[in-house]
Amino acid sequence: MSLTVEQLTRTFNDVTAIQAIDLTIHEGEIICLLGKSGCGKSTLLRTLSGLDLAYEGTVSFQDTPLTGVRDEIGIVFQEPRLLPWLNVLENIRFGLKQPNQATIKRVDRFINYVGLTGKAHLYPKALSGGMSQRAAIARALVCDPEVLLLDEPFSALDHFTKLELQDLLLKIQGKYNTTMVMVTHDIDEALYLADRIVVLSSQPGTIQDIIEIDSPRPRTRTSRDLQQVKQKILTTLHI
Amino acid sequence: MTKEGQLTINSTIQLNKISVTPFLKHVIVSSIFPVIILFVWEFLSRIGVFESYQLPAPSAVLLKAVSLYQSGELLPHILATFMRVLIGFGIGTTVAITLSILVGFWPLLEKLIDPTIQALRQIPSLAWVPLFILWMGIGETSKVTMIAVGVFFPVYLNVLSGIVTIDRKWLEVGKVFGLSTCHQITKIILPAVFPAFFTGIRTGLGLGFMFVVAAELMGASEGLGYLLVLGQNTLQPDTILVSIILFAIIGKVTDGSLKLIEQRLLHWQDTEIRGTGK
Ligand SMILES: Nc1ncnc2c1ncn2[C@@H]1O[C@H](COP(=O)(O)OP(=O)(O)OP(=O)(O)O)[C@@H](O)[C@H]1O
Ligand SMILES: [Mg+2]
Repeated sequence: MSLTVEQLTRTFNDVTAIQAIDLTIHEGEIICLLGKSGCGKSTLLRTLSGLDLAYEGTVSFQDTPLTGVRDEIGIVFQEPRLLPWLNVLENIRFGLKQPNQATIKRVDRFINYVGLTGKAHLYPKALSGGMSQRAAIARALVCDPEVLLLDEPFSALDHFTKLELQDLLLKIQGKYNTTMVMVTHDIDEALYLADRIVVLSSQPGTIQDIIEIDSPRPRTRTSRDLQQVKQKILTTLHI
Repeated sequence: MTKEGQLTINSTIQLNKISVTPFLKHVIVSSIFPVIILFVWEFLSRIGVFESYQLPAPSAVLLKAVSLYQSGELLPHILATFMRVLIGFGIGTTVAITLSILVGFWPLLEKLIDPTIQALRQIPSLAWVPLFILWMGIGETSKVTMIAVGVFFPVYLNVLSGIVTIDRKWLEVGKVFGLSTCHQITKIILPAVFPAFFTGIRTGLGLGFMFVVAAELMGASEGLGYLLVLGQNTLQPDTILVSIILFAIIGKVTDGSLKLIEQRLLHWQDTEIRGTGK
């Protein structure tokens, strides 16, 4: 049992963003959060990260209440949030406590993985939206978190880069058994990655449906089973 | 930066084209207007439109500058003014930075002293002059204090607003990656405040020159402001003009140096630099 949420409600001056969320996220699981814009996906992710503590209900990590940010939990924000005064390399290294030979190699490897080779010395102002997003993903990944929270990490990427990075996430998940919670608008992406898809309803955000996807990985993106699930999700979302 | 990185050896000519020509062009374009003014002024003076005891010709002003320089008077005056500004600026900036950091990071202190500072700010700083002279006499102390007070406010206000308006999003990045409070300050807050800090000290320096003039007009035995008074009392407009032009040059050079440092340190800023075509 790695991350548990019970009766989680978050209200912003009288507006309830999410309400009565119950969810247990198991170790090594990939969960995708789906829902319309403004339904509270980012809000949920921020409470899971320990950044937002003004909620009602409980959030616990490894059976102890979450009282703030933790090294074991990493987050990729909805915006890249690179520090403009650091170049790509420095930004990606930002979360590493003591850079040593091994971590420096690791940083290089991840720069490679996200396709930023040769761009390490550029400053954020010279990056495209997709490049910034990839740098932000690498920055979270090099810290090797146990739980990785991702808020629409691939939204600014072209289709092919997106597919590549989805596979990168799967590869990392396979290697380190990282638990991942990912917000996405892309149903196909959720179907390809998730063990469970959590569909949120709007205003206030409550869990409308949780769909388990059993098909083994690697999945075929166009498989008939997945397409049937997609139909189901689409009808759920349209209500 | 990136441009240089991409240039190869065989594109030296291109390098000239890229960097030197626009600079020259800039210099030429921006000097057209003053040069025309100078010529018209010289011409009008020569045909007697301006009386030389009111507005001497540019050539006369230049000759005056040369003669002041050769007599060895000019450099001490320049140095005196420059040192006053430098010391006042140093004191004002140091106090302003210390206070704005304390107030910015210590909410209690903000409640305690920021309202007072905001109220004092409403007093035109020159209004302090008589009081300072009364307290400290007409010597260096009151002059430097005056300049320091003038420099203090813009630096304090800018740095403080830089601190209190830091984007929560960046602070969260620091939090998420487990930065200690100390690192949060050095790695996020300081760089984030740098732009506001530079705006503050550049405004402060400008005001420093304004206040040095005020201070020296009150009574001084050397300095460019003293030259102004001297020119007025001895009916020598050329001396006044020499002093005014020197103020312009020194102001431009010091501000230009700060601007250069700013551009170096803040090269990461995604702002368009006007007039340089970058
Ligand atoms: N800091 C805040 N202050 C006030 N209201 C907020 C704040 N953050 C979020 N909200 C509100 O909470 C609701 C959920 O916002 P949230 O950002 O979680 O949506 P989202 O599902 O991530 O949307 P999107 O898909 O567009 O990113 C919205 O109605 C929003 O207006
Ligand atoms: Mg969101």
